[in-house]
Amino acid sequence: MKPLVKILYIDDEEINLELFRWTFKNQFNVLTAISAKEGLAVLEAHDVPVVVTDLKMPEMDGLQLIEIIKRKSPEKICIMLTGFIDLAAKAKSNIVFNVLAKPWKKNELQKAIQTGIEAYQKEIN
Amino acid sequence: MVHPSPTIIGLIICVGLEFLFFLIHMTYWIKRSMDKTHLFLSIWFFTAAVFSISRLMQFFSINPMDGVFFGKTSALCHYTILFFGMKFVYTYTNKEPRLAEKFIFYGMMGVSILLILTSEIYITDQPALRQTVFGEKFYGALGGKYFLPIGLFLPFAFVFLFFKLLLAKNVYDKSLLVVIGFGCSALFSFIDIIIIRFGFNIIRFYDYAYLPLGIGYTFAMINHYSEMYNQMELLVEKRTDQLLKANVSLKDEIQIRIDAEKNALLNLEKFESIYNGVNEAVFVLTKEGVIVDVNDKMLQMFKCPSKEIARNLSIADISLNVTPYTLVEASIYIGKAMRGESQVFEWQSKDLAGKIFWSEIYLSTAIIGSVKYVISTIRDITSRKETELELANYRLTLEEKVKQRTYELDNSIHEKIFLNEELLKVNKEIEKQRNELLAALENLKVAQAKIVESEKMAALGILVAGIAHEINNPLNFISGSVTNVQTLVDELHELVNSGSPGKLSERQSEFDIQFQDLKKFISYIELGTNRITQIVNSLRLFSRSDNEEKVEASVQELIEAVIIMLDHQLKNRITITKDFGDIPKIFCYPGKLSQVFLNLLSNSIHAIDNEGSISIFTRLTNNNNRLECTFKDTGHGIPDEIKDRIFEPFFTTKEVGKGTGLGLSIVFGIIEQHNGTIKVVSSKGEGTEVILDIPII
Repeated sequence: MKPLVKILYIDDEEINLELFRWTFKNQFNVLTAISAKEGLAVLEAHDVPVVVTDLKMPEMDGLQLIEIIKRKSPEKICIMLTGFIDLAAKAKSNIVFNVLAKPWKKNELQKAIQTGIEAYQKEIN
Repeated sequence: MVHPSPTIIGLIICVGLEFLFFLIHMTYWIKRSMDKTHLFLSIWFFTAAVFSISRLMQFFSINPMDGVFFGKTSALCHYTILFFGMKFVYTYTNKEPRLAEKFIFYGMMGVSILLILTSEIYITDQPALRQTVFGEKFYGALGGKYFLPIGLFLPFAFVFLFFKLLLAKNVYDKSLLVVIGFGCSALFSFIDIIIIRFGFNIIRFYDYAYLPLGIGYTFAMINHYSEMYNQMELLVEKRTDQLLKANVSLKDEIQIRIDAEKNALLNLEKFESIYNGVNEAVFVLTKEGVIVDVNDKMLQMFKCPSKEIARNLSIADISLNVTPYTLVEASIYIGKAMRGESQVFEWQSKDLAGKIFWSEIYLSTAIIGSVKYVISTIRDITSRKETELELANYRLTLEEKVKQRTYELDNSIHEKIFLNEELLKVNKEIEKQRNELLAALENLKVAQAKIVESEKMAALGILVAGIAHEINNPLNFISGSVTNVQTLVDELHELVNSGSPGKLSERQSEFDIQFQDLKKFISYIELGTNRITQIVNSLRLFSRSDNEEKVEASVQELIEAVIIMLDHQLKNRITITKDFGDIPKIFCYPGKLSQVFLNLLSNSIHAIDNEGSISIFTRLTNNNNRLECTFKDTGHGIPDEIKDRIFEPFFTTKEVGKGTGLGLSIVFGIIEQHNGTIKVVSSKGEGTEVILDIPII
């Protein structure tokens, strides 16, 4: 069996992290972080091709986090979740791979992640 | 004739002493005191001296007089001595002789002197003559037989005076010698009478009769003077003392004077500075109109180089000197002023350069050093006069113009009728415009209502954004959980259908895990539902913004709800501190009040550029009758220049389209509806503090 691809999900609500982990337990190797800062630490320790992050978070928001990630490793795929289809997020679409609405739908999100993984692998090769 | 030399020597000593005392008393009398006692004593001693000399002359047989004359002279001497002795005693004892005493003394003396002058009395030492003296001749002529009682009066009188002195108060101890002197005189003259009368030719006592008396007097006088001297000394001491005291008080007085003088000088300086500082020329004039003094301003006004020159000026020199501005009119004014009627009049003055100018003169009087002067203060009123003239000119031109206008108007009266019609037309036009304006006003009102509405919509926008974000997470809980629950249910369904019941129990542990997960997701769904309910409840507060009635509501709850709505705006950068204290519910329009809190808090949020904090305090004031809510932020504050305008409708610092400028005016309106007040404390860069004060009921 092919090993599951590592993805990182960042959200400030523990329940959301829990739900995400459970939902995609069979599809991806899900790593989670409760804040942007923790997320960055996880990225230091693991080779994660796709990052999914919530937009609104205290201290550092999703967009700021994506900027930092992309500056360090431009090949990484970043997907953002938000309550609105935010204008700010759209403007930055060159660094954000996809913007999805929250609450998320399993199928949509899985598809987006999958596309992201493929895009990443294409980029690597 | 030969006499025992002791008598002659005694007499010579007598004469010398008597003259000496005469001179002493005379000198005292004239130079020192004019005391009568000295006069009397000087006469006494003079007479005594004369008597002694005449006696001495007898001894040396150079007596030019016959025995009778000598006798009379010596008798007169005796009585003179008696008289002045009496005078002395009464004066000395400071007593008036009683009437009886006067009568006896003056009577007896008068009679005695008359007898002496008319009778032939011999006073002789020659035994041959003695017979005659005390024989026929003694009784010869008038009253010879009365000689004895009259002659005896002399010694008795002396005895009387002796006792008078002796018994007089304050005399005995102090003037013992005088008393002794009188006693001696009395005794001697008494003895003498006896000798003469009875012819005992012993030593002639009476030759010395007055010496002891005189010496006694003299000592008495010395005593008297020493007494007087003592008294004088006492007096001098007393005086010295008084003078010393006077000196001290004089010194004090001098100090007071010096102080007073300083004061006076100060006052003088004050006066001088006022006198010279006033903006009016001041003249001090005599009643004749002579200039006595002037102040500095006068020199300036009249271009006079010095006060000296000013004093030598005549009123004519500084006036136009053409009727009615001459010395004559001036004198009339001065005269009136001198009679106490102060004068104010206008005058054409002339300065020393010859320039004529209008002045206003005020005359009054003042008494300086008991002399009455006229004080004349002069004000330059040239500019006023010019204005008056101008006004007069204006008036003339105006009158001209009015006349012209009246004429024109008269001419155009028919034009007026025409004009009236025109006016009516214009009026109609105005009426029309007015209606249009009213309509415009109505439109404006509608527009305003719309804008107010749009402000509400803006608030709603904030609300919706807040709610949307707040609701996202709980919605995610639900939706995520639901997805997973579906998955689990599908899996369970598969498990149940695929296996036998026996197998089912073998896989109990697998079921357990799945049921645990199911429970977990259901609890997440519950949690999400609860959160959404909470948010929707807070939204409900706004739902009744309009037409709501006053109800009891908790300000704390309202503020908390608003904070929830704004939460997404603050999360990253703004911390909120709350201290609600112990406050009761208040009677209010909760929806409107929520809008107030929402507007205030969003203003604060907008005022904080990066990171900052907002503090909210509530407390009871005014005996728990009012509620005070304070919203304090660390934002950029309100610049002073716009502070007065923040409550103006449509006033905004935001870009066009970003704010309606109604936020605070709505706040103001709502707080007024609650009979509350709003206070804003802020300065640029210092943050803003908004204090609401609302009655509880």
